[in-house]
Amino acid sequence: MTPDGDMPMDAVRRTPEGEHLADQERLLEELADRLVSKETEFAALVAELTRFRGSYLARFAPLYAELDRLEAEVARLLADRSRDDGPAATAARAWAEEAEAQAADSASAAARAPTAPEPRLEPSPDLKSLYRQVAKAVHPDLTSDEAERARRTRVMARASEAYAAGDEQALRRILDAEGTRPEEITGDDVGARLIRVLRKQAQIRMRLAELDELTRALTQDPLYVLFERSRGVEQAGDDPLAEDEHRLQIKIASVQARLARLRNASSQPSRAG
Amino acid sequence: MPEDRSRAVVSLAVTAPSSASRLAARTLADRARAATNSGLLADRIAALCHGDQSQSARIAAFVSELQITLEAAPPGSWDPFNLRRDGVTIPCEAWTRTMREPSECDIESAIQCMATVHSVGAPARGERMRALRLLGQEGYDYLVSAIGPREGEDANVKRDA
Repeated sequence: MTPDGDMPMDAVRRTPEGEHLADQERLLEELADRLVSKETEFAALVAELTRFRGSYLARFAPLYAELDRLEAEVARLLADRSRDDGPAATAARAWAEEAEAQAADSASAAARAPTAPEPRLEPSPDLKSLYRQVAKAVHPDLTSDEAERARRTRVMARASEAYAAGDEQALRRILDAEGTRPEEITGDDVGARLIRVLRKQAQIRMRLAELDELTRALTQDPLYVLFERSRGVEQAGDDPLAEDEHRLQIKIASVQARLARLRNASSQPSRAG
Repeated sequence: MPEDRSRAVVSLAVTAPSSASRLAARTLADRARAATNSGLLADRIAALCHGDQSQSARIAAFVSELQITLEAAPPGSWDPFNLRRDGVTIPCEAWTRTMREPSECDIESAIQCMATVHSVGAPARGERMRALRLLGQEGYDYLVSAIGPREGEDANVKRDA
């Protein structure tokens, strides 16, 4: 049975066009397998990265927000002390404005960050297998019907979200629902079937290229770079971000101390000499 | 293929550059800076301290407290690195002319002073005075509190002494 549920190939295989159609359908199946594998790998990567992002934000967004808030205060104090229009005063005011903008940005990130690091969810083999089955059953590029593609796109998005959340039940429900749908009825001639197969191949190749492009864009994101560098350390059982967190905490303490000294200096009469 | 289709399929963080990406970029930059800074500083301080590791560690801690970053200077600069603080890059030469407070001290000279103060056996009052002049009273007090006076040294040197 072909992906469209067409008639078996025996009847048409004896003709040259039938042999060609059979070759193209085999190629289509190979491409479909490659697509499903790649889609599964990509979904796994996105799920891992999403978990890492949540954990990273929960730990670091509040720290950066605090650091930026303190630095903005220091910058504003220094800028207010520079009353002339010389280069140092101009630089101090520019730094104060930049620091305040950064503080607003990181405060906003901290407000949206999860409140606690997300637990690491390693996708189980069952989950991966389920996602693979769903992708094979409903991938939008495995049909040439536009309405069906739109429907499959929505289903696939739900499947990706379920996979990212590690929700096996949801994936199973999607798979079960797809299994009870009436199969597409086709009874076209060899030429029409060949056209349909070639179009599906083209769709799959486009999606494979798109996945390559998405993966390339993903790997250039700083969050991915940090995630990638952390992954090996995390798998070894260590905390890959502990040193970064420690460094930030020291920096915060240091800026707090500096702010206190500056406030103290501002409130005291200047020293002679 | 409709553009929003891949977004629907992916539907997660990938397609939208986010504040998480900006913060991650800062973490990566902090890591790189820490590595560069500690490497450069370690080289400079070790050279100045003639291999005295405990002295190097004390001075490195002090420099670190000042939150000064060393970064590679552009090609052609006379000095191999610049100093950076409070978002402003200042060539070393400019730092040697500002001696008002710790944040503006000539850190290179201060490191030399501290290295000298802590390596010569004599009370080295002249060196302490030089450090005081370079760092200012606040900076000098901070230095003494950070690394402690040597035995026999007067920690209460004042600028007008």
